Amino acid sequence: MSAPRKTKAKGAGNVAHFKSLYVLVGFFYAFLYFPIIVLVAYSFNTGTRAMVWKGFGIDWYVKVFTNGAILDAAKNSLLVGLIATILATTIATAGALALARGGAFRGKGVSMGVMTLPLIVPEIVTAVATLMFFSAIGLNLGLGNLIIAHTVFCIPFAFMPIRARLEGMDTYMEQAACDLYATEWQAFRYITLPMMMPGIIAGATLSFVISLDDFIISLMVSSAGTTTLPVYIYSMIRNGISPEVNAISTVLFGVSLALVTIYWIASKPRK
Amino acid sequence: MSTAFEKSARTRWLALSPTYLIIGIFMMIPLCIMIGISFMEQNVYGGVHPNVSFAAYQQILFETDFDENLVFDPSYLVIIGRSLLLAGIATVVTVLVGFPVAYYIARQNERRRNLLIFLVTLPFWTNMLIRIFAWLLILGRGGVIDAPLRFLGVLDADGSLGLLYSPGAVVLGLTYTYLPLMVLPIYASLEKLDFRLVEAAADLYSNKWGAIRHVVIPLTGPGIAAGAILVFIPCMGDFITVDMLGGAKNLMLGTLVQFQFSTARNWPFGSAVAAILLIFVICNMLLYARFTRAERQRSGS
Amino acid sequence: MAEIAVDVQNIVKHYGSFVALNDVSLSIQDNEFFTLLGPSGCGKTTLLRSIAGFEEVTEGKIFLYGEEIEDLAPHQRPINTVFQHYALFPHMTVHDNIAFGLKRLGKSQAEIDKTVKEMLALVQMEDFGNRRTNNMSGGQMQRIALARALAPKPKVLLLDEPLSALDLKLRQAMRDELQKLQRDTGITFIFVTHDQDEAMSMSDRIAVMSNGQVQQVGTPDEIYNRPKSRFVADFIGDTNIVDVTIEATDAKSTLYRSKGGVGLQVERATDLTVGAEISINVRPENVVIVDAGKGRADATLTHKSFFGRTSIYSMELNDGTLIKSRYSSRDELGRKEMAIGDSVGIDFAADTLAELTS
Repeated sequence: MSAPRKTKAKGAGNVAHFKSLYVLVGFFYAFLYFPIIVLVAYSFNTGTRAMVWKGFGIDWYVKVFTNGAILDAAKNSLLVGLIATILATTIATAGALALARGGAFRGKGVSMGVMTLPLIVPEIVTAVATLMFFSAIGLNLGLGNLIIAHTVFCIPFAFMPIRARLEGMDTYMEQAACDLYATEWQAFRYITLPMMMPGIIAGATLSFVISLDDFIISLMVSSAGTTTLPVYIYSMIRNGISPEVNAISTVLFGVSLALVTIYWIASKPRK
Repeated sequence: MSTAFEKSARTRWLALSPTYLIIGIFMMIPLCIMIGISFMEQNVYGGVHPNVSFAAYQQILFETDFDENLVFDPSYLVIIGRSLLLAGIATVVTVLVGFPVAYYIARQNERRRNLLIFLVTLPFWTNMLIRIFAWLLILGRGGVIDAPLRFLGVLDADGSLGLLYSPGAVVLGLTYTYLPLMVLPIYASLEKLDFRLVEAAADLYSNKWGAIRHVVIPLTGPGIAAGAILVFIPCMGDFITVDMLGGAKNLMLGTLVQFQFSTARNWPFGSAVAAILLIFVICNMLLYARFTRAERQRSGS
Repeated sequence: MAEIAVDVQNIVKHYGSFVALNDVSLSIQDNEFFTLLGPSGCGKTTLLRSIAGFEEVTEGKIFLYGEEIEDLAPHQRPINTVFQHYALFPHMTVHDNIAFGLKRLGKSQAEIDKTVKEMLALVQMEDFGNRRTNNMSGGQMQRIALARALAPKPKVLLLDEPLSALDLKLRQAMRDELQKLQRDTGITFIFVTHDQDEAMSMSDRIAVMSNGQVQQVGTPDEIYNRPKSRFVADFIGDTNIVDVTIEATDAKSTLYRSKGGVGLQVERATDLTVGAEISINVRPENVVIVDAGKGRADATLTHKSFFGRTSIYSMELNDGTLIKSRYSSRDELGRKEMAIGDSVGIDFAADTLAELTS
């Protein structure tokens, strides 16, 4: 607690306060971040064995950025993430407008359920169902298959911040615009859209992070030429842990970190 | 005045149609196909024969012996049991750790609260595969834990505690992965809690622990329940953590499903296990929905 | 007679089975400060929003300077609104907020800049043009909301409880400002409030509403001193209401008899007939305490409350009816001290009595 410390009679004082709780909380955060610190530290190891420390250097980063297969996988990940994000954000924006601005209507609950279905179904189930579906209808668009699968599970992640933003927005704003001679379209264009923008940015960022990080669905849906970065990293780990994995993992982790920070800032309610 | 979305059902459904279209075609139909396939016969070269068959579900309980007789075989039940047990233990551990942490955070001033919550969510949004891989570096043979023990001579030069590929490692990994999902909902309900109620309890001769037990925990029940659901469900279906930290001996539902598609090529059986997993999830959701409804009725809003 | 600005004719508004407005008719004159007053849920806000175009009326017609407008969209009506919580666009500067309506009306940039400047001067916020609206005080946001609504020079300005979010001192200062603004601009103001003091102090005329109906329309003086219904008398200020029957009447005086049998002879004629059951209303400040036997009726003092500026005496008539009398502290000077239980007489001037027929 940040309250000024006073000398107190034993037993008196703030009854909701547990003094040594911070020790546990300290352990908690250490637990949360320790593996990440280990990973980052090992990525600067110059040795050829992942777990044996030789010396400090960026040798493995150089290896990563000259490894054609990794760069291809990264390119796939970025392409899939970008297109899936654009699609999912567009779809989620339209849906969020209907659900947050549509009042109470019949079918709202069901629509909410459909919107959040990809969050509820375990990823492994979605993964195998999608795999069998593509195989059953004989759809083989290469990266296209991945883009479709990613769009599906990105929709709820894009939807949540957009809806939260819309629900925090006063409908009086749109009314005020119409009162000041704006048509409904102009009220949307000049008031609703700019005001919901932080939500859209947050939703898009979240989608992109989720797409970039996805592993199990990508593993099931991708084929030989369409490996994404996490799938490639997984196969590297399976084939024996090389220090290269530490380096590429650190890079990917850094990218996620930056994006999540953007999301956090964009989704903060403005006062 | 109402927005166009409120006035016109057509506008509303037009705006929702892409969602229905994409999730309908690429999620709901695949799930239906999956359930359909679970009632078909396996084709040994991958894929299925389109005959109606309950073989996949039979296989969960029975094994066909050399004389074509069905013999009870508990090995898949063991996997289901292990999934329930390990997911359950992980959930309990996350509650035990998550509640005090959430309590501590909720008692901070707003700036610190926001920072601490951000730090809780941050790892969650980063790549799960990578975070679990980091545990491989820590628990693995000659890893961060073994190395100093070897140096001190507690272990032989190439000895290992053998922490990896054990149920304990799986629980640790699951706890690590899903802890934020427990802290966040508990924090959300603690943040709304009026801490003067704790003072009121103290005023009425309750000690600290009594106040926690009789006031704080009952009032944050919905948050704890939400957290339990959010942690338990993904634990049951988890693949990466179980696969990387549990190894081949510690199969759970998620890894069993994946194995059927990657290696065993038994789609009907994989689909059947996936369907069972889905049923677990739906049961949990229904239970939770009932719980929150009862909770809402009790609080009278 | 002045031109009619807004003519509301037989407006009905249903929300499902709930009747929000039940056959409301009102004529609001040009250049008038007109207030819709009533408790929450009385329909005043619904009426205002119907005039603005935010609510579609179920039945009835609305005319704006002779032109029928009830089917027009809000943006097609030359009417602007000051919203309860201002509804200032947070992503725009103060200048852009005020310019918003002018831009939609297709005014030239030069004209827009000029009008915005004028408006900022009008509300004394000249230096705030480039500021954002967040982090502003309630009073400042209030002024900008006014400037924004006045900038397009609407024919009628609607104000939806605009002062309710301000603290007491600021509220009182804004009352004077709003009144001055209405005089200076000459625009018809329709003001919605549940606060009777606000309504009384600012309005040219007031419409008191309850249960989706207009109870009475009149000047503040008429509303206060000559309420026509029990609701109006009771809603505005403190009052004494006694249920009576008219026992006798002639050209000069009327005898009212309370249910408990107390007779009140008052020197005024009535339009009502003998036997009519009505209520009579006398404001506490008009009730004078005299010696027992010297007033219109005798009573016993039961309670005295001192409020600083005024004191309230509660008395019981012989039939148990409670009557309150209010004295300002100045009038109390030199009056003889009274004790609980004393027998007194009550009196009031004949023209301070109002007959309430509903």
